[in-house]
Amino acid sequence: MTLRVLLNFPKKGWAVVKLLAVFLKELFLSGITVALQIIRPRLNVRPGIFALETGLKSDWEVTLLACLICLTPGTLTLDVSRDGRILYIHAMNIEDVELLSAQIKGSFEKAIMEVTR
Amino acid sequence: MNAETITAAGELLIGVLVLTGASLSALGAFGLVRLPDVYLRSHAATKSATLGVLLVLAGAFLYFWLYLEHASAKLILGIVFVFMTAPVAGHLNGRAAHRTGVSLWEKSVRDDLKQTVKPGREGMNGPQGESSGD
Repeated sequence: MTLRVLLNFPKKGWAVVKLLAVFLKELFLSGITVALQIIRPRLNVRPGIFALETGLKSDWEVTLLACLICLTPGTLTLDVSRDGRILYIHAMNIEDVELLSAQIKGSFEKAIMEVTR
Repeated sequence: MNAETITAAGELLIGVLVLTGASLSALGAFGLVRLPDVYLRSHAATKSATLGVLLVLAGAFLYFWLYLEHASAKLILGIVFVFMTAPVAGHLNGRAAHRTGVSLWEKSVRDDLKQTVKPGREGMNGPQGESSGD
């Protein structure tokens, strides 16, 4: 067990760095988007709550995903279903739900999976 | 001469970092007043604050590190703790608001949570109520 952890260390370390990089990128991009929307004279957003079905299994992974979504400006985790499979997310601007959930799955979920599996 | 240029560039960079962070925090406060409902306000309050705090603390850290030759672990810890606590506060605010029935802004497009929360509530008052202590 310990040996396996040690052998996996470089790979896991790299995955953690990649997750951090993905998170920082999202943080800056959406931070700027939200800031621009706030200073716009006419409020032009379509907020709403959508359900995101996650492929992540363990409590740890889902918690991490929920926290990262909360930290990213423009999206806020409101609730998680009892079995931890569906996250209810309030988004500041949902023009295309499919696109938004694909974005979250493609960035955060993939990076988290690389760290935990 | 060259070292002077580098010093000046570093000062400029740190200045830009801190100023950007400060203006983002100001924008967050502005958004808190301006946006129409609880959920959108919490976007402005918690989110601009995380990025603002990150930038200000990173600027301070760089200044201490490069100019006073003191790598301050406290500033890094500050960033870490803000990033650990801010999402929890934002999540609980939004969740409490939705559970107590605060309505969304009238221009909101959809609410996937509305249908699902009702049965959960009844279940909480029922015999399986022990899992409601979250």
